[in-house]
Amino acid sequence: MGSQEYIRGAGIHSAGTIALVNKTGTWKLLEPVVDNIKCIGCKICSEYCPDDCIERLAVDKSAPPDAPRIVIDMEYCKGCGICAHECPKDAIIMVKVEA
Amino acid sequence: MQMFLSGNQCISQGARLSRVEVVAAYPITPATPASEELHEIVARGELDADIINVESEIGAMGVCTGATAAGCRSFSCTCSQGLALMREMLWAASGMALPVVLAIDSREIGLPQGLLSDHSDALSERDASFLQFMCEDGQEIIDSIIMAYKIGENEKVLLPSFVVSEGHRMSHSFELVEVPDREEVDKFLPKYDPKHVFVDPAYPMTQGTGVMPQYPTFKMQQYRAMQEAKQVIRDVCREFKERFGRSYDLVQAYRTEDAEVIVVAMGSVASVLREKVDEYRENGIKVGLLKIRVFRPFPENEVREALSSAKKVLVIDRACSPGSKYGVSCIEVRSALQKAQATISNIIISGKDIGTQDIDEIFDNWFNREDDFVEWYKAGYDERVSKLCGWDNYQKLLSGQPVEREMVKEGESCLSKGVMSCAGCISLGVIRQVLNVFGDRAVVVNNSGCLSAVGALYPLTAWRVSHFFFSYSHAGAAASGMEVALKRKGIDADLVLVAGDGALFDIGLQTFSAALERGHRIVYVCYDNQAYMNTGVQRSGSTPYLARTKTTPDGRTGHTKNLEQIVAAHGDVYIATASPAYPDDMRKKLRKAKSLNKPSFIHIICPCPPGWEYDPAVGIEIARLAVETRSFVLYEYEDGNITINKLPKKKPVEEYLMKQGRFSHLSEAQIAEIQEELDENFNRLTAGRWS
Ligand SMILES: Cc1ncc(C[n+]2csc(CCOP(=O)(O)OP(=O)(O)O)c2C)c(N)n1
Ligand code: SF4
Ligand code: SF4
Ligand code: SF4
Repeated sequence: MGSQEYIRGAGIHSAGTIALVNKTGTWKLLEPVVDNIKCIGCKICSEYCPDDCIERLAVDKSAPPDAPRIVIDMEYCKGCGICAHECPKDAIIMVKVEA
Repeated sequence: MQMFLSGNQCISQGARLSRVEVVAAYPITPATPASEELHEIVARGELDADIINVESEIGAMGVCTGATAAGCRSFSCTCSQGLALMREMLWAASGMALPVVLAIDSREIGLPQGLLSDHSDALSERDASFLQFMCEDGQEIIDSIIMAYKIGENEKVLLPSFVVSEGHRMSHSFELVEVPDREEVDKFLPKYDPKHVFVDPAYPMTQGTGVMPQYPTFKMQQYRAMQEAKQVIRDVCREFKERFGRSYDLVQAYRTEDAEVIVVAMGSVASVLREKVDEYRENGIKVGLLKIRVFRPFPENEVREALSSAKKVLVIDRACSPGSKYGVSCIEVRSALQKAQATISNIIISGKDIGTQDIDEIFDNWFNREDDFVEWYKAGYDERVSKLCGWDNYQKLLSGQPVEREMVKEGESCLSKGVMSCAGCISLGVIRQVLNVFGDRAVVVNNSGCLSAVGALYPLTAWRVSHFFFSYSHAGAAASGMEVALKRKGIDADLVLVAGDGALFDIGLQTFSAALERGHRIVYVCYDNQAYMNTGVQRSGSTPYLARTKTTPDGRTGHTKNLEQIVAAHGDVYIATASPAYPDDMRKKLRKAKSLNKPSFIHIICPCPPGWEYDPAVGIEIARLAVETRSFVLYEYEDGNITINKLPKKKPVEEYLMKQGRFSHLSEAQIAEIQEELDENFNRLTAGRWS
């Protein structure tokens, strides 16, 4: 028996580790592309993303109109398209992922 | 103190002296009086325990499992059909390494129904990784229960136990027994303080995940724990003798040293046999008795040694194994005594795939050895897996060092990214939203379904709060046990049961109903994708009228179960329906549930792209259309009143149905029929009633 074993009862005494390994972003066939000019940073897309992939950025009033207001975590985005479909400003389009 | 007690009273005394904290038992002859007496013992203030009145043995074992998982010492007693009904959860308890103790008043399993004391109920669970102590008399029942906790809770063992006695013969006959002093037992049996499975919101753990390649390793751990238990049993028996004067062991040999013939038996028949041995000895017959006291782990060395010089051995069995030539304990005795010319070695492969190369390896090892060996084939530990499962945290806990855990912060999701659900899985998004409301106070109980399957796979987990998976039908019971245990321990947390429609409408309705009726403070969240999705889209009680599933290829016939109405029939419950298309409304309802000191049921519609057959991008739109077309009405129910609280402008149901492949077969007449039904349903709800 080595010094490192598994905990009896098959429990996991750590948290959120799945993200270290499962890069679900590799699944996507379509990927969201944001039009920064159209995006108003309303956060609706982020509210609906099932995979918690959209973060709103703090943007200064003085920022240029094409400054990004959201950022999408492509490492995990599965490309479902919910964000694009729900955006009230049509600021996200889904485009084919280059092979 | 000497007392005249029945076997069942010995069971309740054993539980009292062990200071069990949670008891859940369901009446069954002849075990009933044991739990009745425990009620009285608690009522008299002689034991500080929570006794949960359950609806079945499914509930009893579920409660005990949940409570032990939350760190409380738990107890139940049953037999026969009752033990058979517990079966699924027995394996869950041993698999989660939970040292529950069950007293079994052995009785035949029907049919035909019997009221004697066949041992088949307990012995047919021989592979469930329960320690099995076979008692001969009332004294042994009390002593064995106390010792079973001490043995099972030992770090090297961590296994549940059966303390087996015999229905009626023992349960209902009175004997003079020595009831140990409570203070002495306290010194012998310390409080249960587990480090491997417990609930502490500040130390989140994920329990009950699927394991794939590691399964044989966990099975091997159980197997080894059983082997280790032999020495622990000997040590505990020795300590028991020093403190209480009575001596026990794995086996008890009586006049076997010079015996030519030896009879082997378990349980009460040993008493009769002992007298007979003396009688026959007086008549010059060299007979001895070997009592097997512990059936699991089976003491093969002790049995072999005791029987080594005998010319004749007779095994008396109370249970047979139809299809095998021998009775259950005889199979074990014969295996312990095998004296064939050949060595008989054993490789255990569990669920592993075995190819030709493996066979070469196995043969190589076998051909090169002369001994009788038992080995687990390639079941071992992978350092990377150990690291991921949090072995280091566990080691720190064991050695009493502080453990720094990264907790969920305000605004962060309780589930990490990387969850293995389909793209556009609304159920996942919903559970994130639900848990955001509870934050790091959440303790999640979950059962079979997509959500448990996609959130963790050993050693990886997406959960960042405590998450306990129990089996499909037991979640309500396990959550009840956990809620009671958390209260006992003064742990401030919100217990959230997250289950699919299959789990709450169908297979788990029984334990859900019992939990509601008892009024535990649990928030029951049904993520309703309207079918069994994890098994590939089969109809559930929640599948809408005429929807197509794999098991309703022409559309569901009959009408959807009205779970809200059923839940409301339980009395003081807060009920709300919600849709992920209206997140503010959903959050408001969840916050309300969180603030209440009573059960809440939040029923959330969760479109599922593969199950409902639609493009994943439109999932939220469908969840919105469900509300707009009044297919799923958003309301709250409290104090007898239904309040519709989100009522967008009405759209025809066709707009909702058209978006989903599962309704593509509908004729215009059928759509009209659905429309009519929805209108009626809406009118009823508006009038404040369900029917
Ligand atoms: C006793 C038992 N029978 C059958 C199963 C197989 N099973 C696993 S998940 C599941 C369906 C789950 O459906 P639901 O509760 O609606 O959750 P969903 O998968 O839709 O999320 C079934 C039938 C099981 N786990 N346990
Ligand atoms: S929903 Fe559209 S406008 Fe709103 S933040 Fe997202 S991309 Fe920007
Ligand atoms: S495509 Fe889907 S997963 Fe990707 S960011 Fe949009 S909503 Fe999230
Ligand atoms: S089948 Fe449905 S519920 Fe299950 S993971 Fe996929 S989308 Fe989610």
